[in-house]
Amino acid sequence: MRRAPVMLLLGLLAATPAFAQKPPRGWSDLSPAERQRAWQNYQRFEALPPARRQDLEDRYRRFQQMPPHEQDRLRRNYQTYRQMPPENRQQFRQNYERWRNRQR
Amino acid sequence: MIGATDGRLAERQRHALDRHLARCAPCRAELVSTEGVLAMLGRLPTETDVPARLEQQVLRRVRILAADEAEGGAARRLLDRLRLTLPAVATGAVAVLAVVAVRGSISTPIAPTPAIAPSAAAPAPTRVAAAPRVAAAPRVKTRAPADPPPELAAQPELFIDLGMLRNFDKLQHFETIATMNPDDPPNPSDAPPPSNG
Amino acid sequence: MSGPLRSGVEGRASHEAETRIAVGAHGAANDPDVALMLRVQAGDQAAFSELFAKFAPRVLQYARRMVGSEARAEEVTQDVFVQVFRFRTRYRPEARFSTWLFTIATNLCLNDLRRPERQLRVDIWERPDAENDREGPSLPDPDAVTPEEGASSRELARALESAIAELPPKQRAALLLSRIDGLAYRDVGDTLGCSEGAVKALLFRATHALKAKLREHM
Repeated sequence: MRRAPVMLLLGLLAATPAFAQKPPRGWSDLSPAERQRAWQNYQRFEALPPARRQDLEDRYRRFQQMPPHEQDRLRRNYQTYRQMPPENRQQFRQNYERWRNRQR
Repeated sequence: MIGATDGRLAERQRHALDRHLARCAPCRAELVSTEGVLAMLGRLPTETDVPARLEQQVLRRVRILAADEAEGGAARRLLDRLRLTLPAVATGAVAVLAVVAVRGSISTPIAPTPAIAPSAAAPAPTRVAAAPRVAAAPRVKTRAPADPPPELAAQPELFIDLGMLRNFDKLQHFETIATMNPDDPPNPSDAPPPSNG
Repeated sequence: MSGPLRSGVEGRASHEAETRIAVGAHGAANDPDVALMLRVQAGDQAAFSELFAKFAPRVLQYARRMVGSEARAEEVTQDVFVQVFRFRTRYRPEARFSTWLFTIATNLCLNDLRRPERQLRVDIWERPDAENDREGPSLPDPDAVTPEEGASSRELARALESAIAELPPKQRAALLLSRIDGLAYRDVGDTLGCSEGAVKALLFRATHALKAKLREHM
């Protein structure tokens, strides 16, 4: 019985914009700049080995299942990462390797 | 030793080496250490990730280079046309002078015809100069097609976010990774044990 | 000790030699990289993108080990591929594309190292694991039985990278081109502008120096 209010709350949360998953956009929904970027990345993607392509597709599926605020957070982090000076990025990657070793 | 490790020795040389190794411990040790180093080298990664930014910069510079080359080609064609047109202009100028000389009086000093500037007298180069027809750069697959391939049309956002997806793990834990102290031990278990007493 | 290659070539150079024979005998027909480069010469920029995608990871890794700085390695890699495009008409399909490419890369790296303000930084190799710059599924160290052995292997790789970084530039280039990028001695010689014998001498000195530096790890 106690579960009902919890389930109701979870259902309401899932319905709120912050948690509802956005439907993916189609080609016609993209701006010209986005189409250009997608096209160039598509060509790079095609040059990758199959295992790597599959890996990226799996990550995309996981990304799609994230709530929008989490997707936005990752995109913001990516912009920050891209704008890092090379030495800072190098330090970040060293940290990442150490962090990854801790997870094993 | 490297040749021996790679199997590059001629058969006679290999036999000679084997006979020597059979009675020379230092050389045997040398061969083993050489093989060890070469094996380690063979395990080093040959490749590394290329930042998308690097690729974009290269492609941008190459496109500029290609466009410059194409413009340089148009300028050369303009010069070629100029070289062909100048003799015709000179011939025409001579003909005009001859007509003036015949029609005018002998005593009348012939006003020298002002030198005809090629650009003014030759409409063809002027027209070309005003609107040079630059040869189109070779058609390249850099513009997004109106009808994308099915894989691209099916999930375009995958490709918009490709760079981000390549760094997915890092970005999910970005704040934690970015704020790690470089002095922290790689693994908490590596930290020195607390002293007793 | 070294000797002439036997007719049935063994070892790491066998694939390189066979490809050279294929290219020499049949031209671009059997070498896809040569075919791509011919398309680049014809103005196909998509072919250039393909070549970049295929070779940039190797060139960048090579440049990182040669010049030691992440930022400089990226700049050198950029310049390499711009030069590939700028001088594309100079490429002859009788030569392997990778040899031509690494000749450009080596010249640019050596030029960079000759600049007085450049100093090779060996700290680029202080990262715990230079193995996996690509973020992907973590692969276990195939030789490791225990986590400690895996850590030891990474430590060894780090020591090896540092030792390579301390080699004189031409020895470093010869070593990297031959032992990591798998170029045959003759191709390394073409890249460095020296004879095959000189390449072997460079490799001998480089290997000798590495063994001395890594003695405690072996």
